[in-house]
Amino acid sequence: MRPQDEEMIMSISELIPAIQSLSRAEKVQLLQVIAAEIAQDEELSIIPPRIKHEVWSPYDAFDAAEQLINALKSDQHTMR
Amino acid sequence: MTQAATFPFVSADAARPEATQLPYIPLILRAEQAAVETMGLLDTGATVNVLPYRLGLHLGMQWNPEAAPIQLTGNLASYPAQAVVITGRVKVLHEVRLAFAWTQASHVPLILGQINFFLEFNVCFLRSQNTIEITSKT
Repeated sequence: MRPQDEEMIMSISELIPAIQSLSRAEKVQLLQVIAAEIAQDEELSIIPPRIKHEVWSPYDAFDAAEQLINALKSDQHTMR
Repeated sequence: MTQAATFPFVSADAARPEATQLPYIPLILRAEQAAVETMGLLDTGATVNVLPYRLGLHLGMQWNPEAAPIQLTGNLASYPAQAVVITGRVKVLHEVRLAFAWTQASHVPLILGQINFFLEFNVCFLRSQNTIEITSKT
């Protein structure tokens, strides 16, 4: 261990006030980092770190829905 | 009497059948040039139907660079999309006209969403019985 690393090690009693001073977003970010660390330590694959999870479902694409409704109306007009 | 089509849920991963059951149904899509038998994911949270790029090409469709672009959301937001209206048939049920956002993404399932699959069909998810029941709206 290098001397500078030794200086940077904090005890849990020092960490807690530091964590309490974080913003909500930073606390969430910290939680994700800790969860990923634990998953790595225990070789869990539930939340693989740094893997982009793809969700293709177009939620709340209301402008797109409106355009499809218009396309259907044009189609019905053409089919008559 | 209203005709109904029933389907089982489909396992997305044969190695974990119990954990990966999804509501995929078989359907036939027909455009002017061709017909394709495929599987579509019933997605009640999807605002629109989504047609993957390659499936559109298999249907003989050509990308129209002058068509009005459609802005999708989520992971599909970064891919160009345009509106297409084609014919779809679910098993014994009547053919219907289905509007799709045809995306240039290919690694996406055929998504059957609120506009307009769920406007054309009544869908009942009986997950505990591993069954999906579909009837035409009329």
